[in-house]
Amino acid sequence: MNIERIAAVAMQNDQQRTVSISHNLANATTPGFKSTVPFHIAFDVRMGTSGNAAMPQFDIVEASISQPSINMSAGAMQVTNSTSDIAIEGDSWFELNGPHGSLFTRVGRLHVDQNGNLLGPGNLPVLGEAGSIQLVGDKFSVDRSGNVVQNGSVVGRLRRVRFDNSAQLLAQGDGTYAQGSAKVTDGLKSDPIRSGVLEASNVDSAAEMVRLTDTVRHFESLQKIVQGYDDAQEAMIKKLGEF
Amino acid sequence: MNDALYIAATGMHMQQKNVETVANNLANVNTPGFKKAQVSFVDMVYRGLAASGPGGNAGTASLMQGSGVAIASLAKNFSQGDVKQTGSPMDLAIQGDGFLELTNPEDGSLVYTRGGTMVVDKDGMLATQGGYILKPAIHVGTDGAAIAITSDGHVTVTPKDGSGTYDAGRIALVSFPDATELVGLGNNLYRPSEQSGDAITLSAGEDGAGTLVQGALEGSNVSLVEEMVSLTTAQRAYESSVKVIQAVDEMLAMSNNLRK
Repeated sequence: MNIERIAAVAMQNDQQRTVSISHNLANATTPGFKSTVPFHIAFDVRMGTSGNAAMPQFDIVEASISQPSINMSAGAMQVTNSTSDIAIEGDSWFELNGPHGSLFTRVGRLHVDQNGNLLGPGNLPVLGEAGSIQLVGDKFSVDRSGNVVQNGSVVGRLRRVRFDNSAQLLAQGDGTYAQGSAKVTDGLKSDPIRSGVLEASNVDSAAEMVRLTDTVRHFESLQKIVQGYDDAQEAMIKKLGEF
Repeated sequence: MNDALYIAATGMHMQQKNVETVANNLANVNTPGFKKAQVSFVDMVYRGLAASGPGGNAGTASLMQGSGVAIASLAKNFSQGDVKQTGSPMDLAIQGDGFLELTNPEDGSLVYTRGGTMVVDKDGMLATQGGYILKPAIHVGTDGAAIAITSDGHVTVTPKDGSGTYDAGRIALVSFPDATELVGLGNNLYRPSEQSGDAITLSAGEDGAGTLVQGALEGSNVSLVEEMVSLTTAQRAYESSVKVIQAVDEMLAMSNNLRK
């Protein structure tokens, strides 16, 4: 059994957890941010072949680095009173035209560029049900059904996509997510849109701080294991060396 | 060293920018024509981690870890401020969309403003207090004549010598394809940038352009409540990043002390 190897991997896991917690807390005020939750894969237990059949020996194998999974719960609605800020009341996503295919986002921060394209986060064009949306000037509004209205006429309707397993989406930064292995269940969902609000970050600061404290203490206990083993080795060498 | 430190540093840095923006907005809460700035944050680039696992879990999605927070934009919010009556005939405000176009008398460059207190310069032209002349130029004379401006921009002047009222011209409004990308020059002046597009001339009161209100000033569009809430959340978010740095520091100290 390799105590030090186990402790080292566990300590690396803890360090990775703090990176995840730090990223969550840094983005506690980022609209539309989805926090990452690290979950550990249990240390694998392999049945060893040493010993006899009546008393099999269990050997502990490597533990893997914990995998972050995304917490897709909706954030609170943050009122901004800006008609170009919208949020979806539901679990579907806005679709953006990214450089390598579609990207998805929950951040409904829209603006119009100098060519009249309706852009979302990352300055990527927002897709309507019929393609990208062209506007004239930067005054527009979005109604409850997702229609983009300018000067009283409907210019397009925002596309909202719903996923079966949205936790499989891959974060790309700028509030955008690539599809990854998530499956689309409804490409034309009609969740209502609320204008003048943005979805806030879903980071729970209190939970993150508890996790942080927990992680530091766990790290400390692993440190004690390594030190204890180190002391035992030292004592053993000294005692055996006294012969 | 631990990436958590650098991520927490981005958190602290961004919240500091947030507080600076809030401070500027609050300092200008009573500045006529001031437009509040808003910081918008985004999460930063995600990097893949080395995936290791018993037997190799190559089939699972690669493990992506974010690297902190960054500012996507620091845009001016051009929502309408309250139009407050002042009773002074030289005060001009715009109710609705549009900007006044001004010429810099020194180099002829064009700047834009949302209105303010007008003066008559030494040549008898209507200008702002900073000396920027209204475009198209409106000549009102230097004899202290009474000036009346209608809501669609027509300027009529009644000279003191009783020679009768005459039409001095029409004030035009301009709009931009993307007004949030205008560059602020201070003194409530703006200039266009590449992203904002060029000025489009409109007639006041038509095509969705705003109307002119004489004898009033547009207040700032800063909402005290919003700014105070932003300030509180920025402070607490900053504090949480500081706690992360302290915790990571302890962990690094522990790992250093593995060897006595």
